[in-house]
Amino acid sequence: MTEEFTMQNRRKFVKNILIGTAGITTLSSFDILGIARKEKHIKLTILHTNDMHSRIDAFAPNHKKHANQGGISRIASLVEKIRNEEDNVILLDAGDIFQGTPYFNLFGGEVELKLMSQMKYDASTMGNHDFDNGIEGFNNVLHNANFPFLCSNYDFSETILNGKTKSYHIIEKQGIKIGIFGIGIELDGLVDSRLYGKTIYNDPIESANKYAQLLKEKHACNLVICLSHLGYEYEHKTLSDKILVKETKNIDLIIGGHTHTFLDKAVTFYNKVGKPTLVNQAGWAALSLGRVDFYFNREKERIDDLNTSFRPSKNYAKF
Amino acid sequence: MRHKTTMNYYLKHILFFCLAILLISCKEQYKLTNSKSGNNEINNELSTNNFLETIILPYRIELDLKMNEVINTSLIDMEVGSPEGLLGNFVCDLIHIKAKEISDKPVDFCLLNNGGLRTPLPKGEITRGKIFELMPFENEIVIVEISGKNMLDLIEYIKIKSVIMNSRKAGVPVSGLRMIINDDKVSDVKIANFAFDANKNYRVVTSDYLANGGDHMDFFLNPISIENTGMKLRDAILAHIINLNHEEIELNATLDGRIYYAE
Repeated sequence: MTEEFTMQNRRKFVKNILIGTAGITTLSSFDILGIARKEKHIKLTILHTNDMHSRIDAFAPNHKKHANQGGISRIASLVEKIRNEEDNVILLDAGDIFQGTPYFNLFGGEVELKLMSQMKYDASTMGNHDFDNGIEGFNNVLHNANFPFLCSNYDFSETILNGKTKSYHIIEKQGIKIGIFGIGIELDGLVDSRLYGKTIYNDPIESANKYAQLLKEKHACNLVICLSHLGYEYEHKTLSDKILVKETKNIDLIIGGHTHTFLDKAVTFYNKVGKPTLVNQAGWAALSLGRVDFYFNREKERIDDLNTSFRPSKNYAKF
Repeated sequence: MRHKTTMNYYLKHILFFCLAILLISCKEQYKLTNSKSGNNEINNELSTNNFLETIILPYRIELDLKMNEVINTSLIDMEVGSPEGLLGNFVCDLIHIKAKEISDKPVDFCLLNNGGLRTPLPKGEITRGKIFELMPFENEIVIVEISGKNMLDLIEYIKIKSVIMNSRKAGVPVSGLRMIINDDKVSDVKIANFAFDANKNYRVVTSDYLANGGDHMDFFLNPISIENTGMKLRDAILAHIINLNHEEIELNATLDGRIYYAE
């Protein structure tokens, strides 16, 4: 405090501090007592899709493989049911929303984004097919989405998408902070260069590490999710989610896409520092809704051996 | 002055108190302890969502109207086949014509794959939707210039694919290329009506999928040059069929022995 500080200012300052303290004290005591909205155990339900490929309606009855299966409209019913059962639901998509049915050819993605907004998607990332009508085509329908597109390694600053996607997004549910970012696939060779224009592709591993650390450390997120359109795995050395896990840290869950991989449930892999990271993917064409439930405990101190508080069964990944 | 000291005293205590409270609350945190996962299949036991259906409905009506639009009539049933098929000949011929229109340079022949022609064209009315079924992919027409050496691999590829039996993917649809397969030998290879010359380069129109080595067409990799037309195969097929309709020409195709087994 300096000498210029007048008495009057000081009174005001003290008053402010008292009000502030009262506020903090009230909140903190609620925290300590565990009353108010803060619970001892919190369950967070992550629902996710990928590669829906404009599958608004189910496959036709004469389809060889998926007759009468799938469809965004049906997914919406299931999401609604789960929202009624669970307190904390987050709904995410890992890209390739567009292309695959005439809905996209005729309406350019407008229907898909309108439906996803109605379903209260929290975030999505972009897949290679989301560039199919060019950056301009994507930009033209983007206003139909009321959720953010997270693109952490596509740099759109030289394009009309500048400022229209986000590098990361933080959601809070009952005091739990969930940090989400999105990693896209290399466009060169996969998407016509005329379609992605001046988009700059940044290294996915570097970008993933950068944003995961930012979310976990600077923003103190309790959970970090990566929406990835890299693909689950490949025979060759192409970068996949499995490789991404090994090369990164601070990511708890990778929600993947691109390879149209059907998994019964999320698979646990171990990251750069030996910590578990879940990787999940939900097939394609709205034929599957991915689900991962996370359980949080309110704890006074960091407990490293968690087996004492929860007894994990075989299906449970330990964190 | 005395007053000021008292205030300082209070302030110190207040700040200390705040700090203590903050420290205590920081110690308490949510920690991820467990997870459980199980993905849900989306099958016909799930009903569609009523509210979403109201959003979809006007689009579906417009879509059905467009897709059900009859754009021409086919005089015959067209299916893929090996060593040649009516559907393959029909599509390759029209893509070859289209490529010659688009490109400034000559286009020697067309090569596609039967796997990419997803449904037969039935005799009778052809709807726009039927063409979307035939070609649901967004593949684009590209013109690839390959060496005579790679052409030898291409010819060998056609031969191997043409002698496979009982597979929907047997045979390679072409236009502007002719050859005779005799047992294990290929003879009389003609391209654009000229005898094949292994010392020459050839310009082939195909899909970007195949040009990138799809269907193991490795002879397209490392080409001499590649021309992207930016036109989708489906758009070219639709435009051709609609054009014929304007000229009051119905769809037809013939088998002309372009790939021929000599017994």
